[in-house]
Amino acid sequence: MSATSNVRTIGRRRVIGLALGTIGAGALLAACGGSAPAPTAAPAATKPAAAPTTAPATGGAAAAPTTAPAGGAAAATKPAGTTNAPSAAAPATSKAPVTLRFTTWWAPLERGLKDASDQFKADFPYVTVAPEMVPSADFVPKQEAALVAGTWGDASISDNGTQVKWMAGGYHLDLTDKVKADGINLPQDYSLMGLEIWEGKVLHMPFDNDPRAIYYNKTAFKAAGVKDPWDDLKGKWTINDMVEAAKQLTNVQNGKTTFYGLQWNYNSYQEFSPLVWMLGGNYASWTELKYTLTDPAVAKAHQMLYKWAKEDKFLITVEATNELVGPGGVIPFRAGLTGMYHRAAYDVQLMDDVIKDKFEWDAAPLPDLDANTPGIPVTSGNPNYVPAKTRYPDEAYAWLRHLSSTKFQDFAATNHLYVPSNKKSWKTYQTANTKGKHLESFIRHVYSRRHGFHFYNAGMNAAGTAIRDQIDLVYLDKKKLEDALRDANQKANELVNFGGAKQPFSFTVPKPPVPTAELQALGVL
Amino acid sequence: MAATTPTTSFFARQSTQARVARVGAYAAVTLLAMLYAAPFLWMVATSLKDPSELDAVPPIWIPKVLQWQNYPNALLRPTRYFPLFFENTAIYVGLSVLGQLISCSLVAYGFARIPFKGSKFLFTLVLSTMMLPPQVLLIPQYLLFKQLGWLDSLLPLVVPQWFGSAFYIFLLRQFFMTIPRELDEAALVDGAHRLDIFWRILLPLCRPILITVFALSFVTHWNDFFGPLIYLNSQKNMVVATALRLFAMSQQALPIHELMAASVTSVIPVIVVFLFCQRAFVRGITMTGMKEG
Amino acid sequence: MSSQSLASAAGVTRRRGFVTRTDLIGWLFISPWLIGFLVFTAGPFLAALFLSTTTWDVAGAWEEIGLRNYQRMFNGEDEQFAVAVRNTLYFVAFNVPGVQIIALALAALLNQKLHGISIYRTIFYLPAVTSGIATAYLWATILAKFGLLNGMLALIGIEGPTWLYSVEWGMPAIIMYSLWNVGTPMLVYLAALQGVPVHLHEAAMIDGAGIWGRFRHVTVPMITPAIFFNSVLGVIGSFQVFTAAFILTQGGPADATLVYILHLYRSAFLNGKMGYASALAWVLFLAILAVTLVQLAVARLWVYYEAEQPTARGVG
Repeated sequence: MSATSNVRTIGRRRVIGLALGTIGAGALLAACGGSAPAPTAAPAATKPAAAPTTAPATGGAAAAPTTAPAGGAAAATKPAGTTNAPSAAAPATSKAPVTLRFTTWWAPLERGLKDASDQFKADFPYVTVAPEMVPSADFVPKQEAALVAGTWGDASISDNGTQVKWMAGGYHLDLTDKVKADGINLPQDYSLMGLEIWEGKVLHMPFDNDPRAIYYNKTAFKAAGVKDPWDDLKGKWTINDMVEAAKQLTNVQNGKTTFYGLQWNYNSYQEFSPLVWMLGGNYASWTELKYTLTDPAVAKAHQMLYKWAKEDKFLITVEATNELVGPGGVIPFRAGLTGMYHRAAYDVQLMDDVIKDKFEWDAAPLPDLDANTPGIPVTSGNPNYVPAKTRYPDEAYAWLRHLSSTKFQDFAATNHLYVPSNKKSWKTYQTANTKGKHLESFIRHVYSRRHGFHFYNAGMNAAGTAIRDQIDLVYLDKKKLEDALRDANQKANELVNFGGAKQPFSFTVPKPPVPTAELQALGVL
Repeated sequence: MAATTPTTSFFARQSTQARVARVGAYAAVTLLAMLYAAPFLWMVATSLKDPSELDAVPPIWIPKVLQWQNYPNALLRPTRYFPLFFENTAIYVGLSVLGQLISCSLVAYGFARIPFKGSKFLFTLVLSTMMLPPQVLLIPQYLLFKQLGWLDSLLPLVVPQWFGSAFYIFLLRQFFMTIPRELDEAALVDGAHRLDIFWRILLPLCRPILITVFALSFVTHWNDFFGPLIYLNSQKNMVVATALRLFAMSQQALPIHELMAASVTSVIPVIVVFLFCQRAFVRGITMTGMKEG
Repeated sequence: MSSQSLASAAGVTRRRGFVTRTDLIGWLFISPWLIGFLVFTAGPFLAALFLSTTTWDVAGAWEEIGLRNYQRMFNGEDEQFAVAVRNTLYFVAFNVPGVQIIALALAALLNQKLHGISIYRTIFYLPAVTSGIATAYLWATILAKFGLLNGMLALIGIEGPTWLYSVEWGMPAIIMYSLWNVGTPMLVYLAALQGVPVHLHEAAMIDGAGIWGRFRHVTVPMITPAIFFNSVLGVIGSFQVFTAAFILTQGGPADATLVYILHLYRSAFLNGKMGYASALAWVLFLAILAVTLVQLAVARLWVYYEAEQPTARGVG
């Protein structure tokens, strides 16, 4: 019976055998002194919130005594504009060469990275910045593996939808003292999103803001004889004006809509939040640290959006997008299939590339709810941090400080890489190289009003998915709005995670407008 | 009947039926080929489009003017220099495929031919390694390679391939088992060593399946982006698949025409390898004929 | 040396303690895999088992919670678990047999002596080599409301659905996408078909068997090892379906295409529940193992190896 095949006899009693064998194999591995990976991972995390940083993990609201509250608000001696000059923290220039790994998914920076490192080299000749671009969709698993192993870049962008977990776990270098020594006053000099100063500690350096406004297809407006938000309405318009425009722009042929008045990604809470705020409510509480999707204003906002989509039929739904262009990622507005698009400033530098001369576009401010109730735009940000395990904390910090300095932020503003979070560069963004576009829609018309950021927490991405799933059911007519919002709220609150922080934020959302006098001094008004 | 050669009898008896069958086969194969070639044709078409033609509804299959400059634009950017990525990929794929061919055929031979203690249990273990979702092994494995000091090099990607992989072991074992055992046994009686038998008798008979493993392994490693993405950090070490992925994820306003130009270029080596293996397959038919004896 | 080989070949086992020379040679042959397994797989494998009893979120604090993660799955606390299981079983039920039929049919076609066959073979393998991103865009075009597929359906008077954005048709669309990508099983069948001796067909033909009869009674029995191989692999792969849903639908709409691994992936990397994800992984592992063991047990009833059956079965 030498010809017995394995297949014929395998299968009996093997379930138990396999389990035992697996354990045996593990025992063997341990016996051989092999470095079993789990135990090496575990000690790093044995104690709750064990902090690899030098700073003690407080786990509570009280910041370390040496830490100045709110990011050293007291030390506002030096304007941010001069911070690119070598300061007390900057090492001497005669050091051994350092290659600084900078990890980012922020692709538009690719265009400016070379300039950024050249500028940086002027002050730090011995440092070479080596950018490591990671695809945004793969950033989370890669960061997860590498941060634990201590092999992540020396400086990095954050994934702001999950980053709180790492901040709470002590994986961020505390930059409080460095920022203080440089005399940088973050809350004063920058428009902050909330993650930069966490429980009084500076864990990120600000980078960009990404305010939303209404992009519109000027060519289509002219063709349909609709009032232009700038030429006719002088940038002062209401939701009603927008709705009227959208209705007139919408084109129906043989019962099929071939052109929609408005694209507004209603299933993302990050995008529908301005409507909720305008209606006097909120989808989350920055003081109680939970989602509040059962707030009547959320339901009101969606009744409005639902009406636009299903009765007036000028708002393009996900389903209709699929019908019109397929789900392959084509943006209907850019393809010339919608008249208006509620979207972030991120698209400014991309629009011309894609649209070319297919049609003329511009950007209008977020409309007001009515003459007495101003619109409340939403913005967001992607700050950078220094991983606690870097070998070059000083150089890494200096690099991030450079990226947030007026020198580089002005460069980014001139080239419209992003909306600077550095207030001193705002004027440049809305005046330089505008090619006739009203880019003040992303600056003056955002910061002169109340404006909001996202509800950043470690469960933000997951909660966003849960909310999207529920909202989608409503627009597919598979679930009642109240039920969907109730379920979304419950799921989102199961996922909400601040990593033990009691009150991490130094402000609530929506934030108050930047004072008029300050905007005037900055040359924005 | 028995007097005629097999070939003539085949056609003599079957002429009408065979002709109908052949026409049917051509029709079916052509129709299906159109369906299966569509993605590649779409890629080629898109790679030669002007950006204005990308979003067209209905889609444009033949661009008005062929935009050949999309290729250099996509491949030769200073920040995205594909010749370097191709070089890296060639090294990664070459070393991996070689390692898999050698290790998997040895291991498969052991499982198929040698009745050693624990072989059934160990073979079940081989199969079981295919069943644990790789996502959860990611972090422990990463920490292991970190401990070994292998990160940002090809080692974590290549070295494990030299220790066999379940899929190919299974495939080769299945094939070894279809080869009559008498061949080995006769050789053993003649005093041959196991390794001799493996090398001189079995491997030549296994040409088609070895070439299949070669082709599959080549394609898998050529397209693998997740491993390189996780283990390689520096731009200078990047492989083609990761570069494509990065390219595809890098901008909201994706230059799809350039992405497709890069994709087409990246697929060409695979197609060449595949065409080459096709010829070897045909030769392999005559080889497999030997085992009738 | 030769006498010992001879001895083992003749089935005479010479005991040296517990281990015979044959055992040693066998272990030597499989040692590359064994070493690799112990070093690269066993540790992570067991680590995942341990992690499945914790609340590890990768970044920081965790505690051991025993079987709590496993309870969560089965007591309905995690609603999406049931959804993901249902969707995955749906996928497996249609994808496994579907792939076998299509791959075998294509391989049979390709095994004909047609002109230009090597080009055709390459074309059929193309879907397996084109990158996921390019493929996703193509399928977006094909499956769009007014896309290629619905255009063809319209010709026969059917109004097609919005495939990828439909609760009812999302999963069938994912299955279609998967069925089109059959290059690898097709290759395995092709290699097997080429191993079917021509003389068996001729013999069957002389006995008056038609094309179907020969296929059924000559070809199929001869390629049962390949069918077995592809089914085992098909089941393992189908339970772990991920890329199609990840790229084409992201699990939507409304979780209609949320498959098991996507749920696992989200738990691990989006929700920060690596402990729970490890538990999900182990449950899936045990489920696949159970199904595979059943397949292995049943295999003896229908899989024939030429090595043990020198003459082919099923002829005349």
